[in-house]
Amino acid sequence: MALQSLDIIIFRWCVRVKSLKTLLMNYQALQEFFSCIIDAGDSDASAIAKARGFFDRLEGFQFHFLLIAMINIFERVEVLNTQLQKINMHITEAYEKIMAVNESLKQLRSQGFKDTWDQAVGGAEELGLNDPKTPRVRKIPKRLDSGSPAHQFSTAEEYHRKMYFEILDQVTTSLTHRFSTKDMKFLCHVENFIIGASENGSKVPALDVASFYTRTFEKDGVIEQERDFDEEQLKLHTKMFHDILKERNVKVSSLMDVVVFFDKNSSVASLLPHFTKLIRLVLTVPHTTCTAERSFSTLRRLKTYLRSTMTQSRLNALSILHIHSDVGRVLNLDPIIDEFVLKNRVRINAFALSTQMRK
Amino acid sequence: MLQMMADAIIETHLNEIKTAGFYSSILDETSDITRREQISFSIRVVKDDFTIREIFVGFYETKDTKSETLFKIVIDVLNRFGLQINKLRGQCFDGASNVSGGLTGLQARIGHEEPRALYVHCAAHRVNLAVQDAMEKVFCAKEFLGVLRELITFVKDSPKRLAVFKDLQSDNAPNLTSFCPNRYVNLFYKSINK
Repeated sequence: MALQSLDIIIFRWCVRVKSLKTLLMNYQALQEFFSCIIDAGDSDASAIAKARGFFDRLEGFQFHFLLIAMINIFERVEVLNTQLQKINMHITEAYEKIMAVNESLKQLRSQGFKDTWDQAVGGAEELGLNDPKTPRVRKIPKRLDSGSPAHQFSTAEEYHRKMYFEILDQVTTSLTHRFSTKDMKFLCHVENFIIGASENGSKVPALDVASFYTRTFEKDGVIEQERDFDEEQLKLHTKMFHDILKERNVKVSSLMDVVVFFDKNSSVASLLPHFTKLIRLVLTVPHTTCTAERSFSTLRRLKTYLRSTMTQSRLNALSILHIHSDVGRVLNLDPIIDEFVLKNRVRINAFALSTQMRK
Repeated sequence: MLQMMADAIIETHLNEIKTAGFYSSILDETSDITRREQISFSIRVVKDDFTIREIFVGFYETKDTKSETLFKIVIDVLNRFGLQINKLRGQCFDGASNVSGGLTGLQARIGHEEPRALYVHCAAHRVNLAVQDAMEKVFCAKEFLGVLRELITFVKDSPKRLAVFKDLQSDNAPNLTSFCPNRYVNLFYKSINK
């Protein structure tokens, strides 16, 4: 059977950076377009008002600057998004990738402003935009004024730098915040156990892992336990694995390395069933709902405007056939046809001959 | 006929899931063109050689998306395929409160049945939410994105305006693409490399 390889084309989440980029490329055309609308005067008043607003925005330096800064940020995030949508990945790897992108964003914060600024200034000159400005100083009402002078940006560059830092800081903090959840911590804990890394100076005890995978429940008044792992066995197998690694002089720094090692040394993998079981369990934990989202595109292709009244079972059968078309193509149809014919008398009368001949 | 073919396919996949032993579930909802709520159910397994498979098993129609109803559906589906819930080791949903809620959300209900089923909030959704959050909090960014969206809609909204704009565009410039920060529906096309 030919193996199906998925070439995933991301549809929506990557549109953002594309959208920003097309805007940048069309900057001049847009300027002309809006001035055209304002000058023509044949559209209604609200459209003209809107066009004038957009035109002013486009003329301003700030809009251009933000556009370039956003492209820089979104580009990095979207690299990450593309990666996350792969099926063949596990959650700690995803986590590492997210943190790496976060680091690159931090780097962008500390080093990237100059580039962005230069790029924006250059672009603005080319397009003939207004010069960068500091915001107008607002006069504070007397009853709120404490007497101290409000902060004033000495140069426009400084003002924009503040804006730039604010955005990047928010992105990095919320990225870190969103990913420091309980499940993430536990999984990192398990990964450290697998690769034998130390956490806070000591190694992760096998008990932590074994106790998570033990389920205690009450049945007929008796407390029973269902275990995935025997603690002692797991400890032994893990120890053996680390010893084998040491002996062979192989270093592992992530779960992926362990998987690669087992790929090459399948005999070692079968030697340590408890250890491999743990790895498989960690790999089983899904990291995204992409498969589900993918199935929705199938849904949209199958259940269309003109074909919207089919029953649920038919829809289900169709979508399974469509999604698993690789299996469907090599399916042995003869027994299915036979079963279909035998279900109904009329069909037997009509097709019996062909069924007989095949047999 | 279709049903039988589909059954045969599911049969082969079920064998795969059962030999793998442990599995985890992936669920998401959407509404289809007839405005009915559809739930998509997939199963992720790891084979003996550590290859990961995510298998789609079906769509399920539901009247509401309360966690109670969803829970019933999950149990029903697992029963129908003869999968035991005590082999479930992971669950992944989007971040909606009906599934991710800590007390009565779907993940809590499943977690009650099987505490070893570790709940994971879809990473791609999370990245998106993080960026979105950040953009909401910084005023100038929020304003910028709002103007941007309006601007693109303004141009694309009317065919007449779009035609005027097309005339002004330079020859090889790309078309404007709409910007949609609030829709974090990620849609993919699955295509087969030939």
